[in-house]
Amino acid sequence: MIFKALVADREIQLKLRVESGKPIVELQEYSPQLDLVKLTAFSYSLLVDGQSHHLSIQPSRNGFKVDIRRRTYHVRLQDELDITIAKLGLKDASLNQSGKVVAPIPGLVTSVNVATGDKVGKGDHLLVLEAMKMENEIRAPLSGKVTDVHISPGDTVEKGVELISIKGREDLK
Amino acid sequence: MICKVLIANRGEIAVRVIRSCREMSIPAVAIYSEADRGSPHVLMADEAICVGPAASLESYLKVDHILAAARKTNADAIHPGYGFLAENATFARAVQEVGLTWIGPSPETLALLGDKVSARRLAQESGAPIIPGGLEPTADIEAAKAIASEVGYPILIKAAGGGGGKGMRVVTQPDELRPAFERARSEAESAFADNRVYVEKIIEQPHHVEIQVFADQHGQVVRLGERECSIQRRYQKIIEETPSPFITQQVREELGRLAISIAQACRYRGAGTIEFLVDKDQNYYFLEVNTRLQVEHPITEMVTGFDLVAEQIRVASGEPLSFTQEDIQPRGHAIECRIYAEDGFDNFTPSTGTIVELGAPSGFGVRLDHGIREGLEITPYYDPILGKLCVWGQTRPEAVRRMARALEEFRVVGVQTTVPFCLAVMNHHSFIRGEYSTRYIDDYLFELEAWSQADTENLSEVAALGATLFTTAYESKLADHSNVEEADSNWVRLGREQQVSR
Repeated sequence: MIFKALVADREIQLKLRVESGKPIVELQEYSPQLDLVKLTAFSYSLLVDGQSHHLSIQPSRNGFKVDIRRRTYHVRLQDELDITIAKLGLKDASLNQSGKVVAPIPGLVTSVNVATGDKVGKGDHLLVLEAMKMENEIRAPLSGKVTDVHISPGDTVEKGVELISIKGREDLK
Repeated sequence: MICKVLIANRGEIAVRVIRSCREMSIPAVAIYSEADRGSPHVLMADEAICVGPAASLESYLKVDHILAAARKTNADAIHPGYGFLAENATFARAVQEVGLTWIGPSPETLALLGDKVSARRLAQESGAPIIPGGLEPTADIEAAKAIASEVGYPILIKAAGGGGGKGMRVVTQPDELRPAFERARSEAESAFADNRVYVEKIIEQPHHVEIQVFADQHGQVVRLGERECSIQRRYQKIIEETPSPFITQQVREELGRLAISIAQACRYRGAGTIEFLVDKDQNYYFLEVNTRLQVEHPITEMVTGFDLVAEQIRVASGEPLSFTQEDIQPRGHAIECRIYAEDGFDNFTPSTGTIVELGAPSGFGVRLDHGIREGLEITPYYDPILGKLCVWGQTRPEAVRRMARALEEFRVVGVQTTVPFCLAVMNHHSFIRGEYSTRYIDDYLFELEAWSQADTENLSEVAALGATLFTTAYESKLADHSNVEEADSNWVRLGREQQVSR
């Protein structure tokens, strides 16, 4: 199972699976030895390569709040299914040869990074769409020129609504 | 000697008073509202009487219900704690009129010092400087203008009838005076039924320093050192320490002498606190007298070794003070962090809910006064204070490190608390150096929040986090599949189970 966790402003991707009853974590190149003991309904002891962590976890307004001794982690999770949905959404947009970038999910536009006439490369960050209190970066599905920006920060959009039009390089010729 | 004490309060302070009663072999009676039936102060008391429904106005502030509870239990004294009716002269008088002992200053002293104007006159007559403008409350804009131009801008408009930040406005220029004055006056009118306000000179980067005094009925008055209470949010204290890292020895002596003079001038009795503002150049001004036990009294107990609640009970019984001024030799350094059910990094918004897990810090030099337990619901009806964590150290740096350590041990799950905020303060350069004024939170909240936030570079922590979340989510999925009818999240279910099983 792949988890995408939004911790503070950073997105962290973790690969997790269970092997003979124990969770295995892969984080970047790091796959530590894990020993997890559930202490109560709300707290765990973890030995991560022998380093001891005592966590308490509670649901918060938009995810989980996890206290690890000194720090508080506010985590929003996406599991495999959510990631698949998000991918499909973005994939739809990227498949669209006319360069229509549509909202993969209903949400609130919190920032727009491009303006009409801008040149963008594939994967460039176009705007942020906040949904279920998660900030989703919408990226350019193809390289080209922005021909239209249909939204501005503060707009609420429905799923499938066109956000930005990009004329692909092929079309520019 | 007092034979049975009724505590007209709840939460951590009721628990605190019960403890001293126990040690003095005096039975303690708790009162409670319907919302507090399962609270620790009820569990710890020898007897407990319900005084009404959840709303304070119909329970903890209901004088006749409290007096009836005292009659029913044959209590012969009432300890008011702090807040609620503690500084209410009418209540104190009613207590005395039915023949009970009031553990606190006389109703006359409460009335004299509860009125800001008479309190300030008394302080001035005792030789204490008053903030310029602070002697003449007014409801008239022309008078306000005259005072403002006399003391000089910037000025502060402040309600004469009460505190807590209500009716307070800062005015930097003359043309801002009229609108600010009107708003402050109407706020003061609705909050305190008194539309008079003060127009005071603003003290820059002020420190809040207070002197603990104690007086018996035989004319003996002593002082037990000062407390620095400058870390405040919304004009309410959150972290206090003694001794003050800021004031000079000379100022300490002068404030102490003034505090004694003020207490003597009003023939004070029992525990009291004289509050001063000290500016960045060590100029000081009398603020007010708190005619009761203070929230932050434990740090004074830690450095002096005297039990102030036990002393209150002895003094109210008519006994002379059990210590003299020479006996009071403060030793080491003590710090208090108030643990509120508030999110320190979200504007100190109050948080309610059920405490599902509680891990209390302990160890050398640590003292925790609280009124909570696992399974207790934190309701929105009362002050959000859950408890107070205090530490003692030989030196200030030792105390700061000890407080940080104790806060790291503190685990409250189910409601947001000020623990993470206080921990960030203990690790903040400005607090560590002891350089802070009442502007501290305004100036540094951003830095404190940044410190407290996730450290995503710490892969070990992130891995622990991931594995825990995974396990939690996995279990909740299993639960979802096993029980289709259960629409609520697994968390809600677990919370409910915990409540039921306790």
